[in-house]
Amino acid sequence: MNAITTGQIFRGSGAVSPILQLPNEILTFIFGHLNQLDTVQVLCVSRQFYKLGVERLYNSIYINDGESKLLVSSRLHTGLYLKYAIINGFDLLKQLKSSDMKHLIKSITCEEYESNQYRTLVSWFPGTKIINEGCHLVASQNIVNPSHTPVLYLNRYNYIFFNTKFQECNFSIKQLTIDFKLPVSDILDIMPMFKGVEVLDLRNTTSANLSDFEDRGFRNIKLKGLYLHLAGGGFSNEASASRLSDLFNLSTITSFGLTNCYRGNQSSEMVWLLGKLSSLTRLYLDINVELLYDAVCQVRPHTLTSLFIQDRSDISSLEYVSMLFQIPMPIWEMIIQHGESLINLGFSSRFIYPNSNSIVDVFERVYLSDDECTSVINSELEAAEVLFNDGYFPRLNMVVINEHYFEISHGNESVTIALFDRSEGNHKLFAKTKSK
Amino acid sequence: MSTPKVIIISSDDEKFPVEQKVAEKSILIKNMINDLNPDGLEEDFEIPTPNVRSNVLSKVLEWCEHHKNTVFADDEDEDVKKSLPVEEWDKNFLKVDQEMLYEIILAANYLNIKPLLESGCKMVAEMIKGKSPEELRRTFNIVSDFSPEEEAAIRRENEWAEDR
Repeated sequence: MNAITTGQIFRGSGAVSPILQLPNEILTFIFGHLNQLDTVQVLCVSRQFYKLGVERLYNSIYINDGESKLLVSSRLHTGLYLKYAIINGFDLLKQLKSSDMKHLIKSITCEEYESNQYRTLVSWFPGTKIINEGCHLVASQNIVNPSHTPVLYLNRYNYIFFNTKFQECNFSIKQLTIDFKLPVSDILDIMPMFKGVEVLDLRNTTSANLSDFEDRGFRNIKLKGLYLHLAGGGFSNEASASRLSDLFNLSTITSFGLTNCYRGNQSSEMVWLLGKLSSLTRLYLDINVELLYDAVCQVRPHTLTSLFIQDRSDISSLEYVSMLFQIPMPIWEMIIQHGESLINLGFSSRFIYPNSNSIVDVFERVYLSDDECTSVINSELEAAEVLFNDGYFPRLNMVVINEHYFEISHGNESVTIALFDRSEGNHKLFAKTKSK
Repeated sequence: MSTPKVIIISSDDEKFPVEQKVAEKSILIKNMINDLNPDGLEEDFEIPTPNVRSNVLSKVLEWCEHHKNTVFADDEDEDVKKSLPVEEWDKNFLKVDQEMLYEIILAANYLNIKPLLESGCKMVAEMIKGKSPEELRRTFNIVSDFSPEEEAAIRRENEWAEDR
């Protein structure tokens, strides 16, 4: 690139845009970091930008299969930068074939299994390099800037592409979400590049998926967090939960989530699993809470700081509902067992609890704690939020747990609930009431 | 005698004495030193950089000083380089006004300091990302030389790229 005396070009150049003083080579280099949508915006800025941008945009085209149109919002991009411009299907490509831009296209990539595509392309674009490349990786907006949100979410809709070299990159993705609706081979191929992942979020997981991981040599993966969304409503067989301990080092996991687990007869799996998670501090469950009944005591008391439970049980058939709060005993047990450590708490149900207009009514009553209660709870208990995701407590938006009591506020009101007296070994609440 | 220094002289004749290690972050300077001192530096070595003003040079040398022990991979894959975010220190270091940023980029280009050039260009790319053409013109003080019709035509022509 030409050397330019930097001191001279900007001085007294008030009217001139400083960026336009950069040589084209550097502007091109800068544009090289933009993705597809941003590149299109750049084209419209000025003639100079157009010229530089348009060559990049058309240089390499990737044909997305027209049937599964990428369902992404305008905020989503092709990824970190424009390696390929993605074009949606053959119809649009056909237009390009007869456009003025045709000569700018240096390469076209299509998926390898479509041999007809390949032949058509060769005939449409003679002299252009046509590449068959089957390996694609899917990601969403979160990867656009990994420094801001070190979360990579793999779903079916937004494709980004890597070559094998990428696997050598120490990618700073901390949390990785994988949807097993994707072709598993693709997922397994890209797994090695996410060595630093601390949190794994697996969606639509089956025991076969877990076996595939094992078959690829994944063993004893150390994670801080593991979230499992189970395909088909539960572990498919006994082996499937225990397989987790081969794949993952369960004792290092501090955050664990299990969702979409509603089929019955899996209590033993729950007991086993919670027993293995010896470092657990955050637990997220979207399960049939009946499964939890035997498993509650598997978690060491007063170790959980966060507990979120979405109850999938059919509450009307549930025998063990706490008399006092009309919530299922396993949930109540959990809350009580972790009274000293719990900071974040949330629960909700698919079904409306019986007798209720219920929990709202119950929580609207106000309880104040005894002095005795002070010793029960330590000062770690602080402000907390509750996710009442099903809206059964529409006015309830916040739970604050402090030294003496749960404080639950809804709207402008707030109510206070004391913890139970552990010395008495039951769930009796201190039931003095007081409006705030 | 103490270790010889490299003295870099700015376009406005200010002298910046730095360790050889720091100066050699610039491949241009490194090659110059090696070419002219095949047996290693025996005394202070002056290098004029007639293209770089002192305030820019001092910024660039601040970067070199900070990164004097950083090992930058030589020829990383293009994908990898472009995908990695700007390192936090560089990001804060490059929070300067646009003109200074461009001057640093130009200096890094001239002095052949690739990692600094890369960081600088990524910072500019960050300023571009997510903006409409109008916002881009405002951000970079660019006057459009397209007629509204031309701009619309460009939009139409490249519609396929936004259809996702």
